Amino acid sequence: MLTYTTYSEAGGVGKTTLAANLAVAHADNGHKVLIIDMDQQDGSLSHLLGVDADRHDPDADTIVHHMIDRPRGDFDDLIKTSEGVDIIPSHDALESLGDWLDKAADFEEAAAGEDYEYPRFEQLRRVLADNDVPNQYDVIIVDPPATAGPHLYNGIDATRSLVIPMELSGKGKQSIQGLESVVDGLEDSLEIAVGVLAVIPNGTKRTTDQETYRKEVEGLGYEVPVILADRTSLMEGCWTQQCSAFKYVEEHRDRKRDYELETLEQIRSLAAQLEAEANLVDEEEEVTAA
Amino acid sequence: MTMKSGAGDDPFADDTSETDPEPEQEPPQEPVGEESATGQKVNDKAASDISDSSPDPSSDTEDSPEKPEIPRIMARSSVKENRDSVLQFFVTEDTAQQEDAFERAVADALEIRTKDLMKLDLREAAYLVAMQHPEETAEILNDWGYEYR
Repeated sequence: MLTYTTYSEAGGVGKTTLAANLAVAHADNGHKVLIIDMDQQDGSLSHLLGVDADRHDPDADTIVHHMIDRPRGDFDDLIKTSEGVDIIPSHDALESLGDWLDKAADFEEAAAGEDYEYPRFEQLRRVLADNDVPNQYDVIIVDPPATAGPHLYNGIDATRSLVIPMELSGKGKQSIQGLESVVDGLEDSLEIAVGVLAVIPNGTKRTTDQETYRKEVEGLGYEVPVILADRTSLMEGCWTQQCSAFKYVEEHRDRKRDYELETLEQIRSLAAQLEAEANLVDEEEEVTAA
Repeated sequence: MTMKSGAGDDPFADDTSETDPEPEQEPPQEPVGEESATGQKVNDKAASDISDSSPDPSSDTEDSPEKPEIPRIMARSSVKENRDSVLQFFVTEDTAQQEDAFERAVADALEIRTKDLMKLDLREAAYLVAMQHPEETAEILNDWGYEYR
């Protein structure tokens, strides 16, 4: 099973588009993929993939209700599907996640007695485990907001691995160092080991910069499987049409552009490398082997 | 410390019930033994308040930390003496049933027979204990839903 949280401390680095495109690539490779959109902002992955119809419905069941053990319906009914990928969409209730976890903690701790500490950052993993997600899916991706908090902590605990898109700038490097302190703290308090599957330099404009940046990130000790060039037009098209880059190029470009096809190929290659890291076997290979 | 390159733990490797135990839903109960000792202290204080109004026969025993005084339950002619305020309170069946166990536990702590412990004394002492613990009282009320007020 491949599980990861896409994280970037800085916004606007293509985190959400990368998460969506990787998910579609995993699905194209024959894997069953579940994305949990933990970002409460309007321009989140749920919007990108067009599954955010219930976002503002105050009566909707949400992942937050399940995390505080007050579900309003079946877990399976939370799941929407787009481009072959299952998605638990974002909802306004995510804005209250921290408060609700605090309330649940007060309640559970009072009921259980002094020595009990409610594990408020282990609730997403509990919900997934309780609902047999690890057996039903090959890939779980959590897309949290670009701020440290209960959304990110629950995501990291549930996935234990990170994929980090970053802008290749001083800001990007600082963002990695900021994340390191967050992860160190989480590893200590949750007693878990968190790994970085890949750092993905994103939005580079000049190829001459790329090798310099690659060396810098590798110097920090992380894998840099691909460097994604600036594809503003393609990514903006995805948001306008509410679809992945794969679907956008396929359905909304009247003329295929080689450099965009190259970017899609890079994303496929990245998805395959992440799958290999987790020892996921391609469906097709599995069939052949059998 | 830098983050590890590569995959982290398998988040679903271990049984999640281990990392997330269901909190046991026990009815909130006063830890009886310890609290009854406090209750005794409250009673003693109440008793000394009463005997303060009586003439002090032993002004020559200033070295003694405590004045000899007639304990409250010995000094009264009936259990209702000096109990002019009647506070009526309504309880759930569950609470009423727990009172029997509470009474036995307090009697045990006092090393007396349960039938020698007067319910009026028990209840007033328990109420005085509760007054010393407003936070725990609030916790029970929160469990009843006051946190949503």
